[in-house]
Amino acid sequence: MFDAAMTGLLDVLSPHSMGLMLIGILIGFVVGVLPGIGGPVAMALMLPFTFGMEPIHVFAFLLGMKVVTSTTGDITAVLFGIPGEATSAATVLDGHPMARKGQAGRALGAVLMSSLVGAIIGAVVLALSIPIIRPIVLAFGPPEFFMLTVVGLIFMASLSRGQMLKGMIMGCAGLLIALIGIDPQAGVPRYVFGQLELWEGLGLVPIVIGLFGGPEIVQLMLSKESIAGKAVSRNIDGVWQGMLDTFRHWKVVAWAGAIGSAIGVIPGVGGSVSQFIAYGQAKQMSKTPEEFGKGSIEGLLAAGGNNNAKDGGSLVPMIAIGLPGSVSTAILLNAFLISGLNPGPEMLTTHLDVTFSMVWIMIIANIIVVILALPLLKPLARLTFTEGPILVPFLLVLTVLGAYAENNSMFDVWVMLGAAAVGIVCLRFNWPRVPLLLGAVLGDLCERYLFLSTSLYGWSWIQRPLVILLGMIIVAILFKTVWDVRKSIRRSSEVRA
Amino acid sequence: MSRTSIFSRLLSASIAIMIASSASAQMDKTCAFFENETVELVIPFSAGGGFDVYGRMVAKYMGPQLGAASMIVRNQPGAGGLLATNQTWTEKPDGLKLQLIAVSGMLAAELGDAPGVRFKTNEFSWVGRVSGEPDVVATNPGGTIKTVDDAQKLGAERAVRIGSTGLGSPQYISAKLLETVIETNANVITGFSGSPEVYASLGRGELDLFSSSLSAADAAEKAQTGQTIWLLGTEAVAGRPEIRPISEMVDAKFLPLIKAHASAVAAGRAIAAPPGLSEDRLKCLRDVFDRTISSPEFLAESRQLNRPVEPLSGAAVADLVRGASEAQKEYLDLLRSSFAQ
Repeated sequence: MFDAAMTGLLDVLSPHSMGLMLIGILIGFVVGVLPGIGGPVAMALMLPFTFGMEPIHVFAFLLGMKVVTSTTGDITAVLFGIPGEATSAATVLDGHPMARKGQAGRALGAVLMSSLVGAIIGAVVLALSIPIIRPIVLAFGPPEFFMLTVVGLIFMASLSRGQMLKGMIMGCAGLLIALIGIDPQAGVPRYVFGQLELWEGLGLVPIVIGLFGGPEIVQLMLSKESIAGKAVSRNIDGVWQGMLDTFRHWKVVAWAGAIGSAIGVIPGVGGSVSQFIAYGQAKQMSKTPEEFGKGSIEGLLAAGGNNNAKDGGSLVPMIAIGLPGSVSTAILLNAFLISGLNPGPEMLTTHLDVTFSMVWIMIIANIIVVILALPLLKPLARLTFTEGPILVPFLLVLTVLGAYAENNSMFDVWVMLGAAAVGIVCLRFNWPRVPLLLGAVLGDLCERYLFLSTSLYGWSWIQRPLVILLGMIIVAILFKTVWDVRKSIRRSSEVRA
Repeated sequence: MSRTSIFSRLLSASIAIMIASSASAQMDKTCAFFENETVELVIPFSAGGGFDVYGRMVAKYMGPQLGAASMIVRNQPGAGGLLATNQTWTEKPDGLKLQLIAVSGMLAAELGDAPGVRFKTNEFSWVGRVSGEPDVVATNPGGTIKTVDDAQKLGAERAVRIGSTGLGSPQYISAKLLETVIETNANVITGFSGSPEVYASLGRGELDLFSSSLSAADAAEKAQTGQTIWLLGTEAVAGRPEIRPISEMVDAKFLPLIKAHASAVAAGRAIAAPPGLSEDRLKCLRDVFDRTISSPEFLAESRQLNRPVEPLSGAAVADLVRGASEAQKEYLDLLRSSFAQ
């Protein structure tokens, strides 16, 4: 195994692999910094260029690109409040408020360094799981997936603390959005109104871009000021401070990385759930939970640390049994097949060096991204001081492009505009947007795995050990949330008295 | 060798060259329209998938053969391919807009009266098939089912669980066919997101059987999440004698049903132009397609990318589709039961 790890490292360090990785990183940087055009779109467009390459070269190119798009997605989330992908929505919650406070430099430094630390945790988890990779992946079936989606949904309560009723209503609205489309069991079209575009449900990318980006653009237009317009501090030199914050709050980052890489392993569920679990967990552990959502450095570090860690985890089921957990791993799976590799035991025996090369690529590419991005952070942070009327036209073009790009569909642009309208109303009347997104992301998975569990096991799935364990975690989280709410009510009534 | 025979050979060779050159001149004439034009090939699924790779391979080599300025690929995913196919159906039939169609899926949707279908598969101008692989049936690795008798024995103890994606999907239609022909207590479990997820479940031992394409089954066998046991058809695949056709193991009354399904599946992934394309342009497209897909460069790339091609002429695809469109009542009933009405 050590030999394979070393062979993998030497292969990655060869000039050919490194050159391709750099090209992948540069393309990913340019494409990924455009909101909405995240990893999957960039990888799908670049896949044909890998035809005929050696497997390790393919992965150096594509994985390098994927890694950088995760990080650049975080950059747009911090600067403009528009997440690169649905899986990095949590970065907006505290990253953008920091930018509005004039701390864009610090936020970017923090998100960059926490992403790197998270990525290394993810890569280490991938490497350590190699000997036990198959039993782990096969231990999780639909019942466990269902319970994990419930864990994610439970965090809806934690994420809307202070406005619980509004949060619950928005969460339910999200679940209703998830119902749109052909239902997975009986094939009945639900709420599609005769539109074929709605058969596969509403796209998450346009929803995310609209929900978060729309209100930001309108605010910029109306205020005619820059993003950090009213900020007292105008410190764009906080990059180093942000990087140091990662180590100052190392526990938050380590937890987020561990959650990201462990839950990222779960195909389909991983990416979207882990960000909210990591964020919610950081909020529950924090001494200043009231700061979350208003520009908390801990919240941002949790989101950043989780974001790249989940990428390592998401490779596990693909390598172990050929089960892609996300759109980008599905494209990687295709790259596997095209380059003549077969996921499964082969990847853990004869092609173990290729598997290890993926671990190394995750680490090395992330380090390169940090080195390349560092000199750019200051000029990027300066964008938050650019006047709104100059910035808005660019942001409008980018959001429309981002919504259109995934499916080449104008319908998605309309969805984005609809989501933007909802986002603006939410912001105006102070309704939380995250529970809506959480419901929309998890509703479909929750329904599908509940029905699959009952179809496969009847109700006996409830007795499975991992299901019971996850059930206990859910009860504990609920208990903690109720306890915290009661405590804060008591505290506020004492203050009033 | 006698002088006469040498003479006659030379004569026949020169006649053949003359015929060939006149045919090529004629073809060049019929293809003159495409010169410096932009031809669009629509892929009804997202970029980066297996379907997309086939489309891009064809476009890369067919464009230059056609003399077109470029042949571009446009992905138009949605509604399992119906969205793009509906649109191609209404496009101007000038040959500049083509689509790679998952024929059996569209045929099944049309014949099964699925909602949202606004085309007649039979009436597309078929250019040619790129690939067509049969459906096979897999069981879990180390599973006890080897024959239909084994499945029936299991069915006597408990319901045999057959995995499937959603209703109306190609996997659901095969699962329903499998459920019908094995004549035992079986249960089709729907709701999986795609073949890899069903195979993962098969690998965990949650399911007993699953019908998928041969390539998906081969990948699952290498990942040790499935074990291919039967061919969901009547004729064995060349070079794969270990996969027994299911027709040999089930009641003969099901033979027409299995045949109807196998021929619909055989139409595979084929390129079509909108209906009503003029004869000469269709002929040009078909000739160029045949030439492209048998060219050494194309075949070398197909081998390099592990994407096997099984070409079939446009006329043969049209025949297959026509045959399947005239399917018998039993198969139509099976298809109709596979779509929510």
